[in-house]
Amino acid sequence: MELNGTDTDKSTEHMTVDACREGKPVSGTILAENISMEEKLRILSDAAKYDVACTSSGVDRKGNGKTMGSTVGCGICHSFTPDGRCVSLLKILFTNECIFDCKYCINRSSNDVPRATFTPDEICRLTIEFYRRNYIEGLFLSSGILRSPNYTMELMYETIYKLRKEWRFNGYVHVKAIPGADSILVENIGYLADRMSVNLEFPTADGLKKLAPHKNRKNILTPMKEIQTGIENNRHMNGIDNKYTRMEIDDAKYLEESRNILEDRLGLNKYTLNGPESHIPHNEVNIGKKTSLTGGYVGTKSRYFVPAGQSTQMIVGATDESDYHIINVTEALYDNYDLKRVFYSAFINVNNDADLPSTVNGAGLLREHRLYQADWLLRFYGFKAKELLSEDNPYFNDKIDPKCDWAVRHLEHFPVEINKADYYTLLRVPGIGVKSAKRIIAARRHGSLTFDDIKKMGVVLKRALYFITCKGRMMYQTKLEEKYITNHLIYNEPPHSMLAGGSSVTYTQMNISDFISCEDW
Amino acid sequence: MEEKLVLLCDGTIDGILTAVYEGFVIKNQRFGMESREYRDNIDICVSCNYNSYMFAEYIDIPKDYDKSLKTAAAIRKKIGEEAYNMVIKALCHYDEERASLVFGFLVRGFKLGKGVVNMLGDKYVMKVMELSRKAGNEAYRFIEHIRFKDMGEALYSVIEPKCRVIPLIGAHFDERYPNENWIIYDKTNREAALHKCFQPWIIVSGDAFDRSSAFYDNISGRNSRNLQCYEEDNYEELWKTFLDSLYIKERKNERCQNNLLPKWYRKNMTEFM
Repeated sequence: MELNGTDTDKSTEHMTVDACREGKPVSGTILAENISMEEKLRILSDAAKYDVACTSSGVDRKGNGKTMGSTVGCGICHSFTPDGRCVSLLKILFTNECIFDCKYCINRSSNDVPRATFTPDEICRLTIEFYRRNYIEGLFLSSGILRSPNYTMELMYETIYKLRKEWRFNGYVHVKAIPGADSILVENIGYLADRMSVNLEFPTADGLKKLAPHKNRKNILTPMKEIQTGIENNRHMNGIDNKYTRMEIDDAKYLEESRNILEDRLGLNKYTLNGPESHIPHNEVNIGKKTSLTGGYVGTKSRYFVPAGQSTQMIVGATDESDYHIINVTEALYDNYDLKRVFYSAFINVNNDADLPSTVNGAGLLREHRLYQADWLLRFYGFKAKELLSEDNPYFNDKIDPKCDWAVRHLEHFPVEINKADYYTLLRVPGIGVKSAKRIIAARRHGSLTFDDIKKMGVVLKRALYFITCKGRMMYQTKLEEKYITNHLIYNEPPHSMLAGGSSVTYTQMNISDFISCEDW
Repeated sequence: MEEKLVLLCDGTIDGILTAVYEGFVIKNQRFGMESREYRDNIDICVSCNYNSYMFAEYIDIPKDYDKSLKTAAAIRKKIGEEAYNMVIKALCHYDEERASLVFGFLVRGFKLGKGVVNMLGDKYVMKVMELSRKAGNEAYRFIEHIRFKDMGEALYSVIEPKCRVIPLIGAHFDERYPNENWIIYDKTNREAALHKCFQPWIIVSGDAFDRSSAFYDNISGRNSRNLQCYEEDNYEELWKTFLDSLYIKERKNERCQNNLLPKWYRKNMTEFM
């Protein structure tokens, strides 16, 4: 679709940022101007729904007493759609117009779908109005690529800038970095957003090349590395050396930060007016008083750069990588890029593209579920990818979860004595999670624990009973044997003596809310 | 035969904390400061139903804000903030035995100090922990699922929780919407949180609430889908549009949705009305 700005001269292109600040419409398509807000929202949220991340966690920012908004470290899910996914943020695209033609994507340029583009003010108003009704935690802004990555990224920056500075929004903001955009843009957005993410799209570079001909691995990993460096430096400057500590943002600092951002803004305007070529040192730009190296992200103290960390997502099932391959990539991402989260999305063939595997309803969902379970094991339970799977055993068991699967294959570690085992050993027992392991450690200082005690603390005995002893005794007479335990875990059969032992024992099913519910807020 | 004492009070947090205060006075008088002989002989009863012990001694405890404040200060100082939070949350639960359980918990707490919160092997500590966890989780769900309606002069919300959640969630919204007038009306427990733009928030309950209850019922009437006596809010329609297009039909899984968002929470949620 043709844009009204026919002038393709670089400097004019960059001036559009100012043009839309004066209220001129950004998108030039006739369709986009005539359609109602409702239709726009329908098109642009529909186009954004395949983005997985909808979390609002990772940063605690108290309200400032003057303007709207605060964030909560563990995140808030405001609603759930009938597909069981949480709705936390207003997840929309800035535009679904796109110059790229990625095979798997509904918005690819060769698709004939209705197109629309928001203006920055429309997005701001929508965010604020939804927020005050307690519908959402904030904004998740992504976009198709309009004209060029830089042009798109500037519009996104404009939106976030307005939201923060003109609409004084203090809630959660998650922005997708567009691969190929200038690092100065990534940096400036980083100072306004809480979380940023760059989509890895596929676990391997080959898959990406085949299915997203306009993207390349390098353009994806570059901004990821930049954001990582920025976060690291910024945390050091704010006196946080431990990468797991959550950022707590304090008020005076935040105001100071706002002033700095204003100065940056002037710097960026100058930059966009003159075009990137006019800058002699390519990677250097004058920001306020200090000279900062973009990409190096020297930054200044008392400013927060992507305080909630960065995430990424990959599509699973469109290419033929094994689970083993995927969790190794995940592990590398956590280790080398300090990502907060890696999201997985079971592939849905929305375009019915013949080059891609066809999908039926619900296909791949179990696989996605297993990957998330394994992901948790990597992040919170101290497992390594190589422990969970191997070249010879490259897929997860579809009958039992990865932790049970690991345990039945490593019975030499069991049974574990609840009253003696250390924290990390307890964590490896199926049915014991982070919370219950911590409770066990804290409670056993005051006396030895029984099965009844640990059940009350949240241990799922249905799974744990095969692997633990309390005061040297197992709960029931069971065999420590791989086949026997696997069968019982799959069919959820009580061991024979269990019926005689205590028919009053009840179990609770573990579900996702056990992971996300937040009792200590 | 062991001596049994039952203190009677109203179910408010202040009422129970007053009874706790008196409970300790009585305990020290009858069982001595060392209280080696004390075997949880004192119960605090919040409802009128006091037939549970035929031969117990019943004492009425009138609410006294001074004593309640003193109890609260003592808990914070001697057992710590964590224990205090646990106690307040547990007292927001609807369990009839909450006051007795909290009393038992505090008896252990004043003896042992901060460490008491980890003594989950103890019946009273475990129960208080469970109550506080349940009330806390429910309050968190209401932070998530409260829906405000823009009614011009203020944002209104009606909720029907099981526990008393308003004391637990008011601060969150105070922090979040300092620049708005808002009202949260708890239909179950007949109380409301009020916030005026840039002012501290307050809880209206008891007599003060009853005097103005017609006002709140009127709001909840206007809030229901049947009585649309004010202009339809455009953003409510946009919100429904948004949720509808966000839902991936190929991945429909209503069981999962019901698990994560039980139906009783949906009663007053815009998107399910």
